[in-house]
Amino acid sequence: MMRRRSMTGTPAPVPARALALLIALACILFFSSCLSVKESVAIFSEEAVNNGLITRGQAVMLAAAAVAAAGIAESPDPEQEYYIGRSVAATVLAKYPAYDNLELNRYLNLLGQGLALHSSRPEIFAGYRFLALDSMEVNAFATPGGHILVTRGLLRFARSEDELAAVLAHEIAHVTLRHGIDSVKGSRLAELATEVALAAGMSSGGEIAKFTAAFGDAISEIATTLIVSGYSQSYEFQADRTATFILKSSGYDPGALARVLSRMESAIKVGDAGFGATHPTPQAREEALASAAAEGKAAAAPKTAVSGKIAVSGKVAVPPNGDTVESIAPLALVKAERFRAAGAYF
Amino acid sequence: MTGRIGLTVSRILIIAAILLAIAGGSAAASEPPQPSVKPGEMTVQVLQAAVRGEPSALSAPLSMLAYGDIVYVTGSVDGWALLRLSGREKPAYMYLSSLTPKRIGGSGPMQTAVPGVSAPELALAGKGFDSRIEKNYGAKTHLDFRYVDLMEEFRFDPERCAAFLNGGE
Repeated sequence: MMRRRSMTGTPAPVPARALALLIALACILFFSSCLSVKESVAIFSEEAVNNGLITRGQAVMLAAAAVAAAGIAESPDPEQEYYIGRSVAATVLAKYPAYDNLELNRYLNLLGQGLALHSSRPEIFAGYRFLALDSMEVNAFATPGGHILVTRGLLRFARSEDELAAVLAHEIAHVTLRHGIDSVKGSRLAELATEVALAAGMSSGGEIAKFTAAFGDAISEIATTLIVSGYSQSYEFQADRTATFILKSSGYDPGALARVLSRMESAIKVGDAGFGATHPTPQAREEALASAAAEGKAAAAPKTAVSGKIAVSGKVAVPPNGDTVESIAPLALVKAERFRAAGAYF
Repeated sequence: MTGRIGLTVSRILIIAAILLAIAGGSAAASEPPQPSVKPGEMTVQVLQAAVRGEPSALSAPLSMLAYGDIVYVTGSVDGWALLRLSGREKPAYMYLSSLTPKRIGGSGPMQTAVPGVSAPELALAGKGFDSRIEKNYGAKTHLDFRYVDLMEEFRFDPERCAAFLNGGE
């Protein structure tokens, strides 16, 4: 049987030592709810070093990596979300080509970044960014890093700036609610983080390749969720509800989302590529929105169409006697004109 | 064989440690966890954050802070953190969601001069995903980041975005 000499010079069968270490680990975890991850790993690593299972250098790497991995599993920091998001966006762009139209993308960014100011996370690590995709499939993608990609096929469902804002607000909500990261959170993210930690802790030299493999797993999982399987129904309903709040707060009509969904209802069939495969039916989303509005969990549509009336900074003049779109034309007209100009590119 | 056992033991160790951390600390709610607003130090968790004189995105920035900078927060109002700045009697403000009570951007439990471990390796182990990993991943998978870089160039300041919502542009 293979033997290994410990630091104290006492040789012992490795399986027996490993078993002892496992028992020690179980004891540590059982009795040590007050110990931090760092302390737990330090104690166990010391035992592993003393028993010749790992080197001192590996123990130090393990301690650093385990703390980082636990952090990733519990809540990846914004910089990590950003880098994961960049690669997820690049993965989406490998399937859907970018729509290289400066005017349209500039418009989407002004509108989208303005809407994001009214979200629960107005600033994220590197900000929200929007890009049109040159595809007639009806689809949109929001990465954990705030990269929001929308197909021309989806943009074409919007008949007004309010409705376009509704589409973008829904995607912004996926970012603010951290749905991308949550889709691989929990045990799976812990598993990925463990691989990262192991890559760092168990080998010295050339670890970047192993880190990369773990990174790739995370990217692949999020991209698969976004492109193939879609978020859970509850995430989509949450994003719809949050979108209505963003719309209301930013001066757009919160009822616009329901109108877009209603239009989609007749055009998208279950099983269609894109939204048909990755989202609940538009009808189910409309019903959930209506139900949430009735319970006060979503911003209700205003009684009159006042998309131009709600002044974000008080600069819009509200006429003394009117509350129709026609009578408060200035902002509504500007929005209509902007949308008409941008819509020519859809 | 020893290496395999070592790997297995380490795997168990890390999984257990991570599960312990998750069980002890996380509440996987759908809303992002709001940072504590008890008076104390907090860390900037966005690349660039404006400190403003009023709790409004339209208020002119007094200064800009960077990821990892530490500020002293005295309280909060409507999603804005109140800051105390030296040389300024009135409070300053920044988005509360741009701050975290956690320490981030640091090097973690670093220790140098360990035989067989280089400082970059240790930094990588303590950090996780970063630009080096992305570069390596991109090269390996032939992913093209050109349009990701391009879309990141569409950066508009809050004043301009608010003006747009009000009918500008």
